Amino acid sequence: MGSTTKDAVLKIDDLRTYFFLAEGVVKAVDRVSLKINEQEALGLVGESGCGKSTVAHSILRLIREPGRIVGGKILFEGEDLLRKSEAEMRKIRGGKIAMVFQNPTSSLNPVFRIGSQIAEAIKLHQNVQKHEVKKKVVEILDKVGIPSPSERMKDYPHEFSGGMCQRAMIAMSLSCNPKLLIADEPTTNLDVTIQAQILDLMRILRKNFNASILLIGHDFGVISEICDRIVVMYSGKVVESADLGTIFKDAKHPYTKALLESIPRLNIETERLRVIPGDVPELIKPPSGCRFHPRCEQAMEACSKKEPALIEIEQGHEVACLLYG
Amino acid sequence: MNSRLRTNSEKKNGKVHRPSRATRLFVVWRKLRKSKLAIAGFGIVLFMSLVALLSPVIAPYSPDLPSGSSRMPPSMEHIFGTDNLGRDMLALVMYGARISVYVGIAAVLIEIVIGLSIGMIAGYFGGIIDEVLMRVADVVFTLPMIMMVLVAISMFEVRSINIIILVMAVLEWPFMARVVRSEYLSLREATYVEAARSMGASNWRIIVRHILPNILSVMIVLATMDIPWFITLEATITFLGFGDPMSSSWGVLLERGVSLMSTAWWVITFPGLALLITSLGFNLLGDGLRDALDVKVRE
Amino acid sequence: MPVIWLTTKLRHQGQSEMSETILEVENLKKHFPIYGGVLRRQVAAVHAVDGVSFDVKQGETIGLVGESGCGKTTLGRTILRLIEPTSGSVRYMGRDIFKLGQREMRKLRLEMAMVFQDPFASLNPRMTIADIIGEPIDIHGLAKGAEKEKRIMNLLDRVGLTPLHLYRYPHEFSGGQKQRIGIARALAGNPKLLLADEPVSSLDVSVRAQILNLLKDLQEEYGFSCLYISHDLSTVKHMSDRVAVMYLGKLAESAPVKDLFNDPRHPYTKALMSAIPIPGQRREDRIVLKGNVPTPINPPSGCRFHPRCPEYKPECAKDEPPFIEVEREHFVACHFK
Repeated sequence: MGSTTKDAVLKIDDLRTYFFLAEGVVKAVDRVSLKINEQEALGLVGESGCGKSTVAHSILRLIREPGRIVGGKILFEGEDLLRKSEAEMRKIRGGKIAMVFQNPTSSLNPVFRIGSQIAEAIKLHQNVQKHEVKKKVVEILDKVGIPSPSERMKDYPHEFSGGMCQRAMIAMSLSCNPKLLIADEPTTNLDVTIQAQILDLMRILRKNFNASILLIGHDFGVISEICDRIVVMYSGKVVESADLGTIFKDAKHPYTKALLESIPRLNIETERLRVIPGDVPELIKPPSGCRFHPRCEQAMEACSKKEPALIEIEQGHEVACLLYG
Repeated sequence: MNSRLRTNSEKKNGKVHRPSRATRLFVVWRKLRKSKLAIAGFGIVLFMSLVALLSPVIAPYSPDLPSGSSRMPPSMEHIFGTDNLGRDMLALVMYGARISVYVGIAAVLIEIVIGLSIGMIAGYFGGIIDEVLMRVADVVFTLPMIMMVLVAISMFEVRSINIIILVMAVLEWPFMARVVRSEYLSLREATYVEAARSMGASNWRIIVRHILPNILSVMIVLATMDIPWFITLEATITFLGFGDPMSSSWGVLLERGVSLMSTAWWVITFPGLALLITSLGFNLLGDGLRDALDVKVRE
Repeated sequence: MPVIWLTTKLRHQGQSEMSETILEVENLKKHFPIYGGVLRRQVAAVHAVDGVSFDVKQGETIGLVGESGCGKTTLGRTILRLIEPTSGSVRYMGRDIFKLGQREMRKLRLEMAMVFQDPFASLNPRMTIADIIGEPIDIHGLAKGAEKEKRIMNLLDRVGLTPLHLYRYPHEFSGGQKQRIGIARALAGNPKLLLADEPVSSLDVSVRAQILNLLKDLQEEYGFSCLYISHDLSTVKHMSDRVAVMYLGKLAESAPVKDLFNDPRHPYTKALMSAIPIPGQRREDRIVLKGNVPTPINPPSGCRFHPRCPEYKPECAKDEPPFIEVEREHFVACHFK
């Protein structure tokens, strides 16, 4: 599952995004590489501060001062996004690459009707006749499961519940047939039963639209629902990358393993959860060598000195750990 | 273990060293020092306060008696020149600092006393007491300053700088009260206040230990920035002719200097500059204090 | 002598077999009025908690789970009398706490402590850790001077912090450490009941296990009962002995943890469990509920869940189902279970 046979829609090479603060430099994304193939769903997992959101914003070139992309390549359909002009990026954003954010209600403009916001997206990126636009809006709202779409499109965002707002956001992002959909913690703020609805919707839509998906989150369960491959990040770096089954059955990186064992699971009984000692490090002064070594039970002396490179230990499975090379 | 842990208290001879009040003040000072503007502000305030305090000692001449010929431009003997009666401007400005700084501080103190009490009472009791107090505050706030000064002057049948101070403070307390009240109301809902309630803290304890310290730090900043406001306000009142001509505040000096603007520009300029710089100083200090007093801002 | 020893032994035996009930909640209701119109009259009410009854025995953890708007947070705070109830009773060790005077209630608060969701907001940023943890001790005059400092250091140690942290300020600590401080403070009065309101949801995932394990260890050591409120079923399952599921102000189901998860009876509970994504799996059997989580301002007639219930029958809209015991200690509010 998910190897180099299909073309890559997105290929990130050695991306470096740093934030230049008065207190020092925060290496939010420090040499991150990943690849998403056609019609593949990649999950980017990590805790707060690991850099996953920054990766998403870097792809769309939405990084603002004091942050800057200082190195690397982001190849989308073969072209380096980092070399494109702002005007070209604007055409791509919302068009070929769409993004859904964490807080649906605040991502929508409160003074415009839902229908007109979706219409705006359509008009910007597609060559559609004016009288056709309204039809498309109704069509897309229906596709994302909003009841009575021709009436509801006249509503304002505050009249929509959180779940419906997220559906509207997904509708907006899919309305222009993107090649890549980036969803940054799309269900984190939603209730569990609503989250189930949205995940279900995303699964259906995946079948009907040909988009690749980059799903960002910290909940392994949510990621499992949609994604074929998982990339685990810690403190600005990729620590492991493999397909879904492998991560859960055969994770190699100590962080991934420990994390999976520390989460209370519905289907697994444990008396005591596995504890990862210490705290998530501050990015301003990350630990030397391997960033996880202060908390790692299998840390060796070399771990504090040398930064492990991301190595492919078997087909489709990469790990950045000195235990494996 | 965690790089986040700071060095406020370290082990000394095996005992944990408890930082005293003085150490906490020192922390505020250290944070203040970081901002160049704040230090400038502090410097100006310090300077002006010293001038105000020590003017009888350091003034080159007496401010009341003529010490040179009338309307002499700035020179080596009279650095700021002389006014139309031959009085030394430097001495006048120095003594003026006394009065003006006094005005600022006195007015602010009165404002704090009234504003803090009423704001806390309104916030604590709420309901009809709150409504009544806030409506009173609204009315008082809209009273025209000059007119009230006139009313006070006619009531007390004397023109005195203290009357002006009183009127200013009494008309401005609603501002402080509103801020205090709104801080109180929002602090009351803070989670740590709820935590205190959940362990059985009495209302008194919650107010004194949890709410008041946070209100005080807001108030210190406001008060620092109200001082120049009052100084300027008094100068304005005096400038418009409603002040106390006996006091030699900067406002009085400015009023005197207006008619001499074309012939003796120094008579109005130097007091004006002094006022401007002092205002600037207090404002910069207040700004710096706002960050320095905020516990969450890192050193 | 032997007689006394015998009776004492028998009494202890009896106690371990029949755990004391330390908390009895009976038909607790909390409605928040909504004022409107020109004359500011009450036009509606938020039925946050609308008739909840359950018991808590000594040393056990009751998990209270539900989605937003279900009332679990209000329920917790009302039980601790941080909010005054609209009706109903809460008996702690046999005494109705709503009938107690202010002073008696305050004394009782030592025994009913709370850990908050947001560790950052629950600590006064201007107080040192020593002051924060020592506050319950101060309020109730439990100890002074050296004795007090000893107690505080003891508590710090129990939650995994060191004396070096005593005179530092909350902002110098990480989220997980702040939560430990909050827990130490809650334990300062040796409580018999601990209300934990989403204690780990604001924390990083890798830190949550630390706090959860800590709570479990402390519970074993101190012997307190715990009311664990959360929206995360997996965590609730891990922490609780018994679980109660809330929906729109009422209990839908409550049972010992194994029974609830092996044999859920209420359609909402079933939907809730199937909604949870499981790491590593794709759930094909998911029950997806229609519609939104409703607001408790105008609850539906009859069974509150009926508009979204996949097993709906016409009777459900007419009568409210009573909360009855269908198996040992397993209660459900549904007409068809």
